[in-house]
Amino acid sequence: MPSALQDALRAPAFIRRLFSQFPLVTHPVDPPPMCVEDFQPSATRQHSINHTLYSFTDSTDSSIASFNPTCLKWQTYLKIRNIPFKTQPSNNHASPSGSLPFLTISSQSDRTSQIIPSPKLAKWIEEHAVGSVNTVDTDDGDYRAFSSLVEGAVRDAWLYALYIDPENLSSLTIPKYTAQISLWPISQILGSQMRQAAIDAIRKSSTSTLPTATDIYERAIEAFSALSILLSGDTWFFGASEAGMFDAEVFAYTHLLLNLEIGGSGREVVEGLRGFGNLVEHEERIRRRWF
Amino acid sequence: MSPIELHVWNRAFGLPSLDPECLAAIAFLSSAIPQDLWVLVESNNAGVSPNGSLPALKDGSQWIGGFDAIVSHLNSKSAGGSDIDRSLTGLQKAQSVAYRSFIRKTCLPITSLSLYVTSKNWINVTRPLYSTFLQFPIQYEIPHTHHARAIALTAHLTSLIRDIAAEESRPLQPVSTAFAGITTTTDKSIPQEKEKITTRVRLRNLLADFLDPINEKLAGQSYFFGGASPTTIDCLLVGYLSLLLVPDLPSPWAKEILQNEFSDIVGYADNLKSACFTQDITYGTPDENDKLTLISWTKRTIEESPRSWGVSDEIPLNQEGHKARSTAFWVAVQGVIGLAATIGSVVAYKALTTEGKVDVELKEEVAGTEVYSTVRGAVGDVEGTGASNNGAEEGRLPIFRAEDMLGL
Repeated sequence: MPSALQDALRAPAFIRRLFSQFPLVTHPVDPPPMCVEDFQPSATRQHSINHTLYSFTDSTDSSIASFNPTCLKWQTYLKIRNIPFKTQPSNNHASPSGSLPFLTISSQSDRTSQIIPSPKLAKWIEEHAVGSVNTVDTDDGDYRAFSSLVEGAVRDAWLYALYIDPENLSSLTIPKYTAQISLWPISQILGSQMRQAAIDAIRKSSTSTLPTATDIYERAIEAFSALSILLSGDTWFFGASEAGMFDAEVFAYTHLLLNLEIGGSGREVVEGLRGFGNLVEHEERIRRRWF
Repeated sequence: MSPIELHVWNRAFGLPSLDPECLAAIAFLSSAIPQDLWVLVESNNAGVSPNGSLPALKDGSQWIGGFDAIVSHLNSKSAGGSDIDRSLTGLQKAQSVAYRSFIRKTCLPITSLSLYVTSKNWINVTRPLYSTFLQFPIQYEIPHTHHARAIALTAHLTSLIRDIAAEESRPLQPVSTAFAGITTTTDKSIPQEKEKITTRVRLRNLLADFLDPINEKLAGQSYFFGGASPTTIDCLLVGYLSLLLVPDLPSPWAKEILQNEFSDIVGYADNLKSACFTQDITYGTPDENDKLTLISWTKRTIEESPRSWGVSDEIPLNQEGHKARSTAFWVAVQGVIGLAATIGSVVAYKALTTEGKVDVELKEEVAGTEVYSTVRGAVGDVEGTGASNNGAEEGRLPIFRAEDMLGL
């Protein structure tokens, strides 16, 4: 008795009437997404900028310096190696690896985009950029020793001045890093989280249990003095004939220390840095040429 | 003039100290100033140091904490007379600063991994070592702090640590897999062997990160910058290297890799070690105030507790700031305790002196059963008031009387 069963299971008439109204409208199928390049003749396509560096920055113009030393280092190095790119203001949540910067590259041929996180950037640049005349070996002992000085003493002073010093934290760091979410309690909470992270980072790298700002700044100035001696009268570090990775690394800190309006206890390290004329000139040389 | 005192962590493994920075300071003092001008004090009391870590130097009434500060203090004190870097060029001095930072950054995780984080070494050697020179409650706290710091320093090596642990537990594995793979035992040993090799290669790479640049720089010379005598950087290097080379550990990967693949460095470290850690180091005893006693340890632990609880984690401008913060915290704690005690005593006083409450409670019990009447009798003077109010208060819940609440 299938008909009886069907009758029993049949929806009431008014519901059937209601459901028969759907779909109300059927839209036409969307075409696959197109990009600007599709409308351009292939000759100009070659020159369009397809690379985007996602970093902590205020602008999409790649000649505006990022306010984060690591981002600025890669931004500078990409510029030094003549790779055209634009920057994109971003934050950690955007990054697949959780840290900025990263570069997205889209190739013209198959229109796929690829993400290069910062640890792989050096290799990518080496493979894709025009060869550089800077032949400084990044595996060299001196290179690594001085690099650890920048990543140690100089970075600690930067962290203290920008994240732990309350004056700069509220006037520089919080407004810059939380520009996209400038809602009152959130920016303050993020600020205190960043501050705690900076304290932990300094504690980890310090050999003393009770580090103080005075020690941190003294060590940074000692580091700048060592870098100044290393640079001596040369144009670029390690006597190279063209700027390289190490120049970008030093510039990332010297540029930000000299050009952000750092107040509070941070003035001590900025004044210390100004005492090394050749480092200030080195900063100016890169800034004038690429920014 | 009393000799300068160098306060360090205890001797261990046949070395004068168990800490690389302390070893470096010992090496520096023995190469920079005459033996009769300083004594080595194994105070084990990090509380004496202004920066909270050993080594610390006591020069008269002045305290200097940390290797770098000790070096610059002695250099300025002797007006360059004891400056073992005086023959270096400007660039070499700059390199010395850079390599100091490089050695600490790359080698500290390795020594921590070898002595504290490789669990076999920590359980069998390093952990028991602390019990030999520290007294009862302290012998649990100090090694724990050192272990925690070592874990933090090696946080980026987690997968390697897991591999080392897996390799260590290998001898147990044949027992558990014996039933599962009687026929395939020979096959099984091959991937295990392979795994052991990859762990070894990764450890080798870790060591090479640190040692290759040093090897390159040494190039067979007996000192880092050539010359005829050690410089500051040699002292720091011998401190770190001897902790990798000297201890006999149950999991001796660091020693084995060094001896197999970096024989030049081993030779360099051995020479320096015998020159710097001589047998004729004079040992001194700490002053009463500088000793690590239960009282001084407790005092310091309490002082530092706001920081270790994460209540006031802060990096102040200078050393006074640390003390000030700790004091401020304890003043606040005392204030809160004081306030709570005051309120508590007022409440208690009111509660005890308000008659109604006390006798109503008694009466309730009395109203319940007759058994309590004997107890009531023992209470004495309460009996009278309780009995007289008995009828009037019946049927009310006595504790929640609104007027009693207002009476406070």
